[in-house]
Amino acid sequence: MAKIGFDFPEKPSKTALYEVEDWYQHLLAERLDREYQPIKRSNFGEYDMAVNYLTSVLEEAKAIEKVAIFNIDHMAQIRFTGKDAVTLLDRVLPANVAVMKTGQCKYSLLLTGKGTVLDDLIVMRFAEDDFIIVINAGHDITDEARGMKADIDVIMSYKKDGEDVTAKDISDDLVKIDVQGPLSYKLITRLYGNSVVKNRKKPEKNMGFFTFNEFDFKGQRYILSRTGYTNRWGWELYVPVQVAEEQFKRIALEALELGGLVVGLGGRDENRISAGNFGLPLNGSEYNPKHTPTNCPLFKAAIDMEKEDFIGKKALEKDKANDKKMVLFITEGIVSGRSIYKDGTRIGTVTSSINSPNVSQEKREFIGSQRKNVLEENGTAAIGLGWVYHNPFNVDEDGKDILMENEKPVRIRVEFYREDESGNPKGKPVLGYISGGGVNPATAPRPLKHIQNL
Amino acid sequence: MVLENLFYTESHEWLKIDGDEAVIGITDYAQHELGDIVYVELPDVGDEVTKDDALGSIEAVKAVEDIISPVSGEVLEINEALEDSPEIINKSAFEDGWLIKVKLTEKDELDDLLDAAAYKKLIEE
Repeated sequence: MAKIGFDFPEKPSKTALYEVEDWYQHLLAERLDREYQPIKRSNFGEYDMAVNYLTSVLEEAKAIEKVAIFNIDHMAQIRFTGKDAVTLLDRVLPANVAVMKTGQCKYSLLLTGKGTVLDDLIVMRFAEDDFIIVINAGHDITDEARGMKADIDVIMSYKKDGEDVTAKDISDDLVKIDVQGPLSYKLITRLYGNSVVKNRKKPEKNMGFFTFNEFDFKGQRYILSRTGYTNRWGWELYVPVQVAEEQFKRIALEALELGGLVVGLGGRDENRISAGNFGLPLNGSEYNPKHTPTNCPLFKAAIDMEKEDFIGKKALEKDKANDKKMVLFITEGIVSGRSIYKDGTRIGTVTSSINSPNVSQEKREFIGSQRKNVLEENGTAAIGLGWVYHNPFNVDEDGKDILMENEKPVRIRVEFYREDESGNPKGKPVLGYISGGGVNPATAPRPLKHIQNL
Repeated sequence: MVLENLFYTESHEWLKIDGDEAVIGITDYAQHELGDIVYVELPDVGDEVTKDDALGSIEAVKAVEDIISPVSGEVLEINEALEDSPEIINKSAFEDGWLIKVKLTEKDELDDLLDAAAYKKLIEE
């Protein structure tokens, strides 16, 4: 079968907002009275992405307290239509796609037959026979020599002869802009009206978490989903490419007006690790094709083990007794490349680590660090994610982790060491603790009434 | 920005040589690549540093990097202001953001350093 995925690009691609990001950079220089510099960029999924703008990663990571705007045009959207689209997606994906309602979003994973992770994604159902799947950057490329197979080709490889399914990568038509934080409601409704955030069936009510709307604005069709990668209140907006630049300008100007910022990949990384009790995994860091997602924080949301079958189900069943756990930790400094130790024994590995301005003083002081930046008011501490070989938390009668004891989050002190060639710890440790309480509360699922009058 | 009167390393440290003493810092290019610096770990006065070994580390928001000692010697002075305000390095990598002053024990190690022109070429590549 002919491939649908794109060829590997000769050089990293530019997003549709690449040029207008420079307009924003100039705007920041003027508004903040800072010297203009070219945007600091880095290759992410074969896209040339802004790490941060003229504002620093720390400033941008803090914007989520008001409103944070993200250029997410590097992520891809693939569309599956046809009478048998639902059968195909249900056969492949571990989520129960068949029971999804029109207007619903569902988080899921794309697994190998071995139950390991190829990608994580969001499925949106537009009609009985019409789905869009939002996937990670770089997962739109099929290049045999590099061992890359686009999600669209992976999924279509499971289509049976005679099934009516058409798959198309529609990423070039849509530009994804994320709007997250408590003032996101205000921003969206100011720019696009109150009706766009209402429940599609009961317009007197607000739209629910993990649902989406389609709306027309000035003759163009937009998609707005109540989803995001920060676990705070927010939306992901899909703007038609023809008007993406002018809409980005409107959104950026409104964000600045509300005390928010456009946030680059650095701030985005912080915002997803500081998201809720466990943080949100990143494909390529917490997920990869060598490991199963067993006991990842979103396992139950993404995977329906009651489903008759899906790709990888048998392997996951066999892996059920695996006691490994993805954990969130707060540390005095960055621990990338280090291993996690408890009482002198290696208990796991670090998969993500970044300094954060969003860790409360109490949480920072608990580390027991002498570092000035950790202890001072408005200081920073690093936050990170990793996998430990065994669940470090006690479990209750129902088998659920005990994350709170005496109304306080459970904290488990650990140390992070570099290791020598034979795998023994060396040098001084970085101090920290595994936290059952996370960094910032998850507001995303809470009712919109809490933010609609801000 | 590259200053003419300094020596450089491929790992982006700079040295200002005065007789048998050297002041060491990281370059403006390095601070820009690192972004906001939040913490600096330096040796103590009196410690020995060894060429090509880590003399300390610089922690930015997204990464922590070893500072590789370009020379061997004894630490005469450290920039204590960095403990309270590591961001000085972001603002003034070549002046106020210096890291340590060392008494050189192996002066011929200086032959391995890059001059401004060579360093400029390195970062433009």
